[in-house]
Amino acid sequence: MHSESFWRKDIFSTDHKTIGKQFLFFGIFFLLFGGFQAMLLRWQLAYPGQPVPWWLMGFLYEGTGGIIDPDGFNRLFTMHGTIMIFWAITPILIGAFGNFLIPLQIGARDMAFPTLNMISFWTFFLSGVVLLLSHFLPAGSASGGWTSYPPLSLPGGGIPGLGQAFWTLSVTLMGAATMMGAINYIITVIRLRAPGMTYWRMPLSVWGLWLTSILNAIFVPVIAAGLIMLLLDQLLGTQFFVAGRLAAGGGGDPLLFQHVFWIFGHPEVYILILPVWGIVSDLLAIYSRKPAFGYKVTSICMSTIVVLSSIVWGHHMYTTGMSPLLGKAFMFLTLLISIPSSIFFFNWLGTLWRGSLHFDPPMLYTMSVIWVFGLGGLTGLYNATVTSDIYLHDTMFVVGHFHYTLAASVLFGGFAAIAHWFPRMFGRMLNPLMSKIHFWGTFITLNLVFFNMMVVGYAGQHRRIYNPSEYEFLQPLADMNVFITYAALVLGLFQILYLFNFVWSLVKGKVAETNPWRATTLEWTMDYPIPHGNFGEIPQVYHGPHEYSNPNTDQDWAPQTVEIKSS
Amino acid sequence: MSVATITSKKLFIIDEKTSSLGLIVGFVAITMLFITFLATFSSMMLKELQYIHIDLMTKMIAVGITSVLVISSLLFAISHRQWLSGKKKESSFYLASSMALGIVFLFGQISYWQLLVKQGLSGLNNVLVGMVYLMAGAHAIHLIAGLVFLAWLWLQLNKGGELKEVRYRLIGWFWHYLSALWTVILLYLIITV
Amino acid sequence: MGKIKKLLPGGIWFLDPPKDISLDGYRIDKVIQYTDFVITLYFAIVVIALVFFIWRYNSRKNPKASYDHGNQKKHLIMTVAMGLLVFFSIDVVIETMSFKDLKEAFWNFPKGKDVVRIEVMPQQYAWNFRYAGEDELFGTDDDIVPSQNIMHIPVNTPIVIQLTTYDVIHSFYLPNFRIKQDATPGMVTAMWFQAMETGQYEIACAELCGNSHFKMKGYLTVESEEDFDSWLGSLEPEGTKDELDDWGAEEVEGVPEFWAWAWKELK
Ligand SMILES: [Cu+2]
Ligand SMILES: [Cu+2]
Repeated sequence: MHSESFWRKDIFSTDHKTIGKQFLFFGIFFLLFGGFQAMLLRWQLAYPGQPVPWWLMGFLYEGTGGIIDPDGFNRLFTMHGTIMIFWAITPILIGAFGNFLIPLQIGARDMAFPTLNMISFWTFFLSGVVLLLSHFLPAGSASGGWTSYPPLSLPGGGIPGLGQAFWTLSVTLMGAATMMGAINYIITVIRLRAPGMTYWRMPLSVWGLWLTSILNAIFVPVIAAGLIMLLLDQLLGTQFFVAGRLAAGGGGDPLLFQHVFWIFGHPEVYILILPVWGIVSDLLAIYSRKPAFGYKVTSICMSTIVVLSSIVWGHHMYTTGMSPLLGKAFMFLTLLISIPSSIFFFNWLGTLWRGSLHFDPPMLYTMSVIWVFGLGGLTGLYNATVTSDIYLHDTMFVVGHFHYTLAASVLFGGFAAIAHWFPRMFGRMLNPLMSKIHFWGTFITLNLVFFNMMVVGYAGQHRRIYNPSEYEFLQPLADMNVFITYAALVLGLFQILYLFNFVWSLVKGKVAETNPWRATTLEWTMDYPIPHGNFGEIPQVYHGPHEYSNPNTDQDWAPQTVEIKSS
Repeated sequence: MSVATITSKKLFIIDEKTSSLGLIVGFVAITMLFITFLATFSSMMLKELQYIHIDLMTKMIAVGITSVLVISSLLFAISHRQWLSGKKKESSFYLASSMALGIVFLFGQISYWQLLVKQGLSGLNNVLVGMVYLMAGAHAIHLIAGLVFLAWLWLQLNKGGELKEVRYRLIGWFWHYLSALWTVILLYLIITV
Repeated sequence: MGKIKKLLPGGIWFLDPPKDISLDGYRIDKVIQYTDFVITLYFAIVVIALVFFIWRYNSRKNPKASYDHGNQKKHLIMTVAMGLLVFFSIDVVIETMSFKDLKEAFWNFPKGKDVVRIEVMPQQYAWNFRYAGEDELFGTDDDIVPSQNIMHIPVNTPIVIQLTTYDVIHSFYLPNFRIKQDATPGMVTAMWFQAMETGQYEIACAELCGNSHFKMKGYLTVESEEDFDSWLGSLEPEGTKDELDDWGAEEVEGVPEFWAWAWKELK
């Protein structure tokens, strides 16, 4: 091995494993940032207008006597949503695990275009810097919500300064970075599979990440178009999304932005969740020591959902005054998604059935995805149905629902993935005891938080309000709001434990053996550290990714590189 | 591939098919961007938010400018052919003229824009015109990128070093794609406006 | 379902929603209750399966997993059947209910003499209301514009409102009627409802509209026909308008004046 300089090896590296780790650290940083914002939000909702205590960094609000003002509150939830979706979940699931897993699991030496991969990360990094910088603008960061609907997000909407423009710019940059990654992932899977690694022998994680990339490649340009138009409205004074009194002369159509936003926005939900579905399907098999139930059906279902996801965006717009015909069509199409979703959901249960379940930390996290995604998926029915959505739209119910599907499922999926592949990434095991404490703490408090968000939403509390006590009909919810906040704070505490566990295990964790989970896929075939180029010789693949408990093998697993001779 | 080749500077070589496929996915993405613009434009027109009226003469000028780009694309094809049959000098000449016409097209677009502004069609007061400028601008940015590739190719040709055929071919694809893209957009605009 | 409702206040959601005082709100509650019931059922099945698997198939009790790819025909038939079962027992049912409700109620705008029409124009951060007055035409001299955030409606009478907005997007949200409708610049949207009980209720803005979105509150008074008429009669008509505009030509101390649009006939 020739030695590379620090800059080439650790900073501007083209090695997919290093880039994956860079994305991971980047994502964890933003996850903490967005998580902290969530705590401040919860404080305000429980104790509106009371000073933020010192232990929640009340000094940040020194200028106002420790009190979060309404503008500050709007900035908080705007940034919380934006950061969690685009700068925490995206880099952790797609950036980190997409990069780390795809080449290793399909038997490639690297991504198809390593330099593009490196540029993708640094563009992503730049976008994050732009977003962070916007917090230091004199008039503050964006506060028009993560959806940034015009005309509120335009100069005429009353939000001062350049915060909204910075928001648009940073999300556009993020989109460009995602795009580069997507091209890379798609082509890598098409071109660089090892001999014998057919599509039907790819781990389901790769299936999930690959489908995600396809959705990204198609729909990120759609939102890019919308964001470019928004940016022109914000900076040059065009009026694509302005109408009514605010449009001097001309005028465009604010509703158009909503369409463009959700044509991307709905697939985005699946962009974020597909990698988790894939990872969960794989991990369930590994920790049940049993082949994934209905492997092909699962991947076909995921592909079907990818197709359906592109024609259902209208369910976010039932209250905009949509024509009845369109409303009905979008409702019908949305409900169709429940067929493939429930099929692969039953496949997950099928994998557990008659398995031999090992409750290592990754398995605990994985099984909790079944729970939270089950709840999240089922509660989506209320929002897909036009009439119940007329009541529940824009309430905390929706907030609770998408925190189940996105935040909870993706977080647990991410925790599972990190716990499972930690030994591959860092050569050490994540401490199992701390992981288990973290799991139980997170699982319980997270449910208390997100379920009760739906509860207050059902009881009428609309979202994005600074002070629920303004309304008489929300008075009875005050206690519940306080309860949710305390649950959220405890949830936050457990994440500090997680961070400690992560760092501690990185330095002092038990040194891992090559294949501690006795998994069959290719990434476990080489010793740590995995060299640049991954494989000494590109392996030959003989069978699918889930050969567990095959009666023709001595042990209960057969690596994909080992031929199984039937006796 | 043996271990020896891994440790050499290049980890592995990106083969032709891989880079071609990468470019095609890129085309899909760019196409989606412009489809969104066109769909937005159409929706604004269907809702009758604004009107554009452009006379036949002005429309013909647009066709004229666009034909420059189409010819540029043809010249590139000729240049590629010449290069394949070993005529380096001719190839370089046609490539240069293709590039020149690309630049002419860009200037044509800018003056056409000024012409429209003179007719009172500014993007600030008319969203439909704004969309047209936006599409032209987004296309122009891609075209400038294309010109950079063409210039790089021309330098490689004249340096006399070894040039991989696939690079020539793929830059050509990009160049043809851009002229096809603009032709389709223009046809759509002429038919609908 | 009724029994589940009695076990807990608010059914599976513990807390009751605001009191429904509308003619059609019960339809929304019914769809929600049916969905509550089926998703509880299915989620319970999932949880029971999970618990059973954890108890029965943990590695101590079941050290050897069965080698089964679940890729035989019977497995496929079983999972697809489950998928279809879910679809027909949940989705098709709520879809049918919802379509029926939309057709019979929410999208079936009442016509005729006894309908009260109101134009609503939200602004940052207040609600403007306009009643047509005697001539039943909007934008005429006898229009009645109560002070901001005050809306009165007669009980047991269908109310049709049309909305557009003065500035950004707002959403007219009546928790006690279970409905909301966005007001978007450049377009007129509509909604109808009917109150069954008199009283004081709140109007909220459901779409983020700026820093005071949270206190963009309106007061809705539902009263008897006579009280409503005398309230309307007690208000001064707006008077002559020289410059009529969809969203108001002038603004006096932040209150737009002389806004109105010709009532849009729907469908
Ligand atoms: Cu959606
Ligand atoms: Cu509002």
